[in-house]
Amino acid sequence: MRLPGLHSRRGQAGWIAGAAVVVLALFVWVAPYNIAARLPHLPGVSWLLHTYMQNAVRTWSLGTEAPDWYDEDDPALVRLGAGHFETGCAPCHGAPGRPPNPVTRGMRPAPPPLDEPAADYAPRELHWIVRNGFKYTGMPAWPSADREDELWALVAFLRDYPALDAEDYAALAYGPSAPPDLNAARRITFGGLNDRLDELTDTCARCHGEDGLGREGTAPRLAGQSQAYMEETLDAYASGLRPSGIMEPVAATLSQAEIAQLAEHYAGLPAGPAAPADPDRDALITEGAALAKLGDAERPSCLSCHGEGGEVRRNPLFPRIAGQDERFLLVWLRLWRDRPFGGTPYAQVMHEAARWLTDAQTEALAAYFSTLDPESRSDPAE
Amino acid sequence: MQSGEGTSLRIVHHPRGRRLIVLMPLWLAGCDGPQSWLAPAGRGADTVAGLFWVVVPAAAVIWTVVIGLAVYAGAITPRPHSEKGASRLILWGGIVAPTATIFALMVVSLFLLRDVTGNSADLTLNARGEQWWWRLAYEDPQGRLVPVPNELRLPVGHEAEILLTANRVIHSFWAPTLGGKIDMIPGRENRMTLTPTTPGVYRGQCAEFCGEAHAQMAFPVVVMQPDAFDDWLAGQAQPARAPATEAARRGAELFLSEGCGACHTVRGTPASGEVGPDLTHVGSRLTIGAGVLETSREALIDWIAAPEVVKPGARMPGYAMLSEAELGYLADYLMGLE
Repeated sequence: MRLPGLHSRRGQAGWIAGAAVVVLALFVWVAPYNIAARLPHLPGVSWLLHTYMQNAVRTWSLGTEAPDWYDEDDPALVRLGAGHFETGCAPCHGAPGRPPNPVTRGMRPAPPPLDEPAADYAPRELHWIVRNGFKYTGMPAWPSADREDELWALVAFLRDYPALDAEDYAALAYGPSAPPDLNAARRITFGGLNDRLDELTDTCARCHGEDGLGREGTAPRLAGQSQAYMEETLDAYASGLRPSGIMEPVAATLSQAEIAQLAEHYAGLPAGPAAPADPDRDALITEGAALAKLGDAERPSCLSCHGEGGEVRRNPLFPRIAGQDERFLLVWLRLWRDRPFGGTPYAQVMHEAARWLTDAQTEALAAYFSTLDPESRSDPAE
Repeated sequence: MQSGEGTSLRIVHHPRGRRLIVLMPLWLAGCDGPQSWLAPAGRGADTVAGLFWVVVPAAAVIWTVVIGLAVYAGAITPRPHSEKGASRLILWGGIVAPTATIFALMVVSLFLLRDVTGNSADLTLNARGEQWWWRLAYEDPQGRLVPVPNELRLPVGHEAEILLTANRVIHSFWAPTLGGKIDMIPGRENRMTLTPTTPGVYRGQCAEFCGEAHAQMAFPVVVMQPDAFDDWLAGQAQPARAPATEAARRGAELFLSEGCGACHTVRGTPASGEVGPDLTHVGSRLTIGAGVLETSREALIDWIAAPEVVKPGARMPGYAMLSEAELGYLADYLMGLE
């Protein structure tokens, strides 16, 4: 039998290409290269992959800038990062004074302890890594690319990471609800035995505080918040309708009954006092008050929906924001302004309402509402 | 999708001539109706229509002569012209005749323009173009501003001065049956006068592309007898009526508890928002959504539930999360605001 085309250049090339395809297909089908995580990489592969990763992080994080509210030294921001680190990162990476879960030792690459990387990478690089994760490793991307507020909290925490010991870490991640020995008793049980609500509120308390007042700005205040609003919002986190790397994994484990119980629990706690008004910021607060009460031709008045009491009964799906922590007010006003978010059925209304706010106006509004007494009976008509 | 593609293909293959014939009645219908400057009901539009009926026959004559000459030149056996004759033809036919015609037209139109621009207005109103509605406000005899968004009412035979401005982008205010159009420009106040001559209900339209809902930015124009107009304006200056029925009362409550007052004003209630149209007398207006839907209980329900369906890009968020009953109460309340 004579094969056609063997005597021409083009014919030969065709035969070689065909053979290559067949060999490749065979290789994929038989799969002779062992991909077992148990076996180490071939010599040099680890180095190549790791170097490429470091360079990619450097290149792709160019141009990333921290938002103006980002303050690396803000203890509340660091605590928020620590609180989530305990839920989302520590199981694989370990934590200060605590080795990673033994299961992760079998991963290739194994998730490294973070004291070195946290010291080696610049803030923008840490931000990129937390936001995007890595292909071909176990490192996941953040559930939402739009939650800059959460990403930068993690970065603030990671910046402090190399200097932390086990005690510091427990204080940051748990605050007063920390169990005596975090490493021995990873499961936290306070109050009743096997009382899941107690466990749940402890999980919440890590950031929101046992009194629901947000651990001095670590997380939004929940005490005295509208029950219906909290239920809908937890639902939205659980279903992924409202993106959040911090709240989604927590809310997703909750049953409907637990969501209802938690909402009732926090709604029943007394709303704490508002932040004291700094006399130096009188002008800013007054500006915020005017906009919040009256709005203008571009921006609806906040109090028409968020105002409390008075003769007007508000829809309970509108959250109470008087006395809320200033950073969260600011961050959320900008989140709402910049894109639509899921949440209660009224989420789109908030996006439309915030759309034309300037940065300066978000600052004024955050200053005003953070100093507004949650018990105030403001009448928007005044 | 499948059938949609089929349809569009058929249109592409439609012979061009036949399509024009099909469209012809539409084109002719444009000469009449509530939004045609060829059916004038105001002094400005009348003047423009008069000018049009002079210019069109004149242009037809000139066109016929020019085309006739061209046809004639093609038909005759070519023969050299004398240089003198050719120069004379170019001078008279190409320079003198057009210059004289255009100059005459300019003189006539300058005089017409002077007549159209009045300076003895009996009535002043402010008009600000928004995306995508009209923030109109009348100065009443006491000098107060009476907001009447999205509806232009004028007394017949009286000159009205309209001060035009805009928010964010350029719009153009045009009530074709009454007069010409004038741009509304952010940061600048333009002035126009309208003198309606025939009572009736007409339609105005934004005439400068201003975004997604430009085509849905319209307004009814009502030319009224002066007495009726005065009564109407006095009525519009009043605060809102209290809800008369139980349903309307619940609607009024919802209006406040749902935060509608953040954007809308209902004078006489705590609702004092300025973002959207004043709703104090929305039930008395002919349309809602700036000329988009005829005012009715059903239209209000549809609008509140999903404004973007009838008006893409509308800033008002939809309230489809409200129950049917709640939407009904709100509509009852608003219909009662006459």
